[in-house]
Amino acid sequence: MTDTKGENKTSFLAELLNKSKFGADEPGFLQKVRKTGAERTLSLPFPTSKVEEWRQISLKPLERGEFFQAERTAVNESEISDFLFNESSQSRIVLSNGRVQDSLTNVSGLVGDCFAGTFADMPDKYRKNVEKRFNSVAQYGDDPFVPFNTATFGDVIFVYVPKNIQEKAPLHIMHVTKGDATYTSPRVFIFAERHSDITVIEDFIGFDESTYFNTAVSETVLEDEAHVTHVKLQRESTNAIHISRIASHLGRGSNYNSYTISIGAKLFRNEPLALVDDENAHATLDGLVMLRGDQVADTHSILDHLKPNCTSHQLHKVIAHDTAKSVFNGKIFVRKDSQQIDAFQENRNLLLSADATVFTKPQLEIFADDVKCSHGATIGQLSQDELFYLMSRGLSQAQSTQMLTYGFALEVIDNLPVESLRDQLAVEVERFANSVSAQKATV
Amino acid sequence: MSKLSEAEAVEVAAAKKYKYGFKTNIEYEDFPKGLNEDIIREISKRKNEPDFMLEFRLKSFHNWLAMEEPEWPNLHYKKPNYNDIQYYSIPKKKPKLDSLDEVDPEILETYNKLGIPLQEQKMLAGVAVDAVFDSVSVATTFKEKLAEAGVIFCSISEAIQEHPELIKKYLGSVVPANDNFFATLNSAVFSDGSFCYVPKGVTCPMELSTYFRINNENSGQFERTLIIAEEGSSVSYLEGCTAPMFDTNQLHAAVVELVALDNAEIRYSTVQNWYPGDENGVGGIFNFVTKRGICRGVNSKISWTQVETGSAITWKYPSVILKGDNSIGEFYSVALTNDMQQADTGTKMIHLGKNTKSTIVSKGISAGKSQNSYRGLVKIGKKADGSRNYSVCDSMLIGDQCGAHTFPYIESNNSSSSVEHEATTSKIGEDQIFYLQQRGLDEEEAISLIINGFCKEVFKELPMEFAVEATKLLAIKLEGSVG
Repeated sequence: MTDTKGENKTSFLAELLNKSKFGADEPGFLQKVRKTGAERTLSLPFPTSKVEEWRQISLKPLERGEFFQAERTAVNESEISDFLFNESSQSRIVLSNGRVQDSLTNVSGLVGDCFAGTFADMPDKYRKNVEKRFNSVAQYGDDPFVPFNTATFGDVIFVYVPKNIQEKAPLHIMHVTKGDATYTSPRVFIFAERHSDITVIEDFIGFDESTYFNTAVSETVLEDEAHVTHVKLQRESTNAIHISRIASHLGRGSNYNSYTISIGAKLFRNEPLALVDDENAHATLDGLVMLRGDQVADTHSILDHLKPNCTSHQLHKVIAHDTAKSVFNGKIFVRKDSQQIDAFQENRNLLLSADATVFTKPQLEIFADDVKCSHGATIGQLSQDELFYLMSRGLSQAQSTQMLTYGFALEVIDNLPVESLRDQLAVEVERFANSVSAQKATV
Repeated sequence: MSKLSEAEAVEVAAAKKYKYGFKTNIEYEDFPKGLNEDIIREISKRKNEPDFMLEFRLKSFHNWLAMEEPEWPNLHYKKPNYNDIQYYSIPKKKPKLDSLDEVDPEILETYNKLGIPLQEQKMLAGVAVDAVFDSVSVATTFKEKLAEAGVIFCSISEAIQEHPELIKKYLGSVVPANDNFFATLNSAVFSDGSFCYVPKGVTCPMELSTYFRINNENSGQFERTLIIAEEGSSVSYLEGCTAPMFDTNQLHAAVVELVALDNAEIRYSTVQNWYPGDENGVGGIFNFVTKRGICRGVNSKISWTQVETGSAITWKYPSVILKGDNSIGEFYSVALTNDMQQADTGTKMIHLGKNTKSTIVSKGISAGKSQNSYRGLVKIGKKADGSRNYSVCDSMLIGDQCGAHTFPYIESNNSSSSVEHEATTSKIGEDQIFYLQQRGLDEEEAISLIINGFCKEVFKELPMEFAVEATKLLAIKLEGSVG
C-alpha cells in the first residue's frame, strides 16, 4: 500500500527536536547515531489519520500538548518499592527521566561477562557488535517516532550476553518518569550472542496523573540459538502518552518471546516488530491490554517471516471498559520462498461496557505456498452461560464477573517466566476486574 | 456454410481478435470519446431520459471530478485514461453465425467441458438458433409468467421510461451518487442493466437471470442493476454465466443495488468469467464493481454468492447494510486467480439494527503468479444490540509464485454483540493428492476434487445448475497450473 501522505507543515516532532539540547560529552558513536536520527526525523511527515496505519487513532492530544525535554531528577526507593521484583534484586537498572540513577541500580548479580549498562561503561570487546547492530532493527517504513527516539534518547541501556551464557536472574529495567509536560525517549539495546539466554523486563512507570510523552524503543538482536524473553510492562500515569517500538532480529534456531502488558497511559501505541531472518527460529508476540476510562490503546504488530522453516505465535488479548478504545492490527508476512512456515495469530477482545470500542484487523500476507498460517479474531462479552453457571454455584454477579474477567486476562499472564511478576500482575488484574464488577453491580 | 457479406466478415475477424487482445478498432455509431458535461447530456438525451435522471447523472459527474482513483487495494495496474473511452455506444449485435462449425474450436471445447447443452452453446456463441430453442419465445414465456405474478423484470432503461417513480425513489438510495470513484463514474454514464421489482407478498415464480432477459444484448461496460423486494416478497437473481465472456471494453465499472423491505429476501448469485488476459498478464478485463444491498425492513435477508474466476483485475466488495432489526446478511465467495490475475475482493457487513446477523464464507484460491486478497469489513454499530457475525476466510495456494492476503477490518461499538473471525492459509494437501492418485485419479482430477471440497460451502449456496457448472469451471481454470 502506498500510504505516504502526511501534512506538509513542520512536523510536531521536528519542532520538539529543535527545542531540545543534548550534551556534547557523550561517546562519538552515540553522537553519530543521534545525528542520523535527527536528520530522519526532520525528513519524515508526522502521521495523520489519513494514513492507513494511523487511521483509527488521533494524535491530536499529543500535538495539542506542549512538551519539554525532561530534566534530570531522582526517585526515592519508597516511590518504586511496590514495583520491584525479588528475583531482580541484584539485576536492576533504574532510570529516572531517561538517566540512570546509580543509587538504585544494582547489576552485581549478572553472571560472568554479561553486561548491562551505558555505552561508556561497556567493555571494549563488545563494541564491535554493538556498533554494527545498534539502531539497525527498529526502523520500519515511514515511522517518525523511532528516528525521533534515536535523536533524543537519554542514557541508552546496552545489554550484552556473551556466547553460551545463561543469565538466570531476570534483568529489570525501570524507566521512571516524573514531572509534568515533559518528554523522554527511553532506549534499550539487547545483544544475545550464540547460544545465550536472558530475560529482560522493561518497566515503564509513571505517577498519579502527571502528563508526559514517552517514545520508547527497544531492539533485540539474537544470534544463532540465542534465547531472549522480553517483557514490557507499561504502567504509565493515567495522563501519559506512550509510543513505542519493540523490535527484534532473529538468527538461526533462535527463540524470541515478547510479552507486552499494558495497563496505563491515556494514549498508547505499541509496535512490536519481529524479523525472523533465519531458519528454525521461533517468535512469540503476546500482549494483554486492559483499558478503563477514556484510554486509547493501539497495537500494530509486524511478524515478518523472511526465511523458511520457522514458527510464530501471537496471542493478543484486550479488555475494554467504560469509553475506552482499542485498536489492533497484526500483520504476518511470509515472504517468497519462505516455505514450511507455521504462523498462528489470535486476537480476542472483551467489551465490558456499551461505550467501549474495538477495532481489529488481523492481516496475513503470504507469498509462499507450503505454509500453515491462520488467524482468529473475536469481539464479544462475558458469556451469559458462564455467568449463570457461576451464579448458580452461589457467587454474586459481581464476583462472577470479576472471576471471568480475571480468567480472560490470566491466559497471557500465566506464560510469563518470572514468578513475582506474575503475582504483581495477578493483583493488578484482580484490581481491574474488581473495579469493573463493582461498577457493574451498581448499575 | 453460407456466404458472409464483406461487412460481416470484417466483424467476425474483429470478434476473434477480442480474445487475443484489446487492440480493437470497431466503429461504433458516431459518438465522441471522452467525458464531460456535454457527453453526459448527450447520453441522457439519446436514451430519452426524464430530467431527474439527467440531474442524477450530472450530480454524479461533478462528484466524480473531485474524486481520486483509489490506491489502497492490493492491485497493480496501469490506470485507464478516462478521457479516452467512448461512454455511449449502441452495442453491436453479435455476428450471427450459421452453425457451430464457424465458432472458434477452443471456445467450443470449453463449452463441452462445462457441459453446456448444444442449444445453449449456439446461443452463447452467437449462432442463429432454430425454432425449437428460440430465445425470444423462451423469454416471452418467462415474461408472461412473471407478469402474472406482478413481478417487473426489464432493462433499467425501460424501467426509467415506464416506472420513473420507482427509479426516482430507489436509484442511488443504496449506492449514493458520491459513493466511490468507480460507482460514481457508473452513476454518471451507466449504459444499461437490469431492473427488478417484486411486489408485496410475492415469491418470484422462477430464478431471474440476465441470461433470459428479452433484450439480452451486451449491457456494456457500465452496467447498472436495481432490485427491489417489497414487504414479504422473495427473489433469486443470477448474474453472468460460466461460459467465457469476451468483451472489447477493458474497463468495467458496474453498480448493483438491492433493497429488501420488511420480511423480504433477496438472493443474488454471480458467476464471473471475463477474459483474464493471457499468461503474461497482457490484456484482460478490469472489473471494478460496487455491489451493495440494504436490509431496510425488519426480518429481511440479503444473500450474496459469487464465483469469481475471470478478469485481470477484480475489485469487488458485495456488501449488506443491516438496518432493519433481525435482518440477516450473507456472503459466500469463491475467488480463483491464476496466471497474472489479481483479485481484491471481500464484503462489508454493516450492522445497524438490533439482533442482526451476518455470515461470511470466503474461499480464495491462488495459482500461477496471481495475487488474491480478501478484504472485508464487519462493523457493529452502537445500537446494534445482540448482533452477531461469523466470518471464515480460507486461502489455498497452488504453486510457489502466487500470493494470498487477508485484510479483515473488524469494528465493534457494542458490548452485547459478538464477532468471530477466522482465517487460514495453506497449501493444497500433498497427502490428499497422493491418496487420490493412489486410488487411480490423475493429478489434475485429484486437485479438482480437492478444490471442490474446499469450495463446497459456497457452491451449495448456488442454484443447482450453476453449481454444477461452477465446479467444472474451476477445474478448467486450474488446468495446467500444477506440475
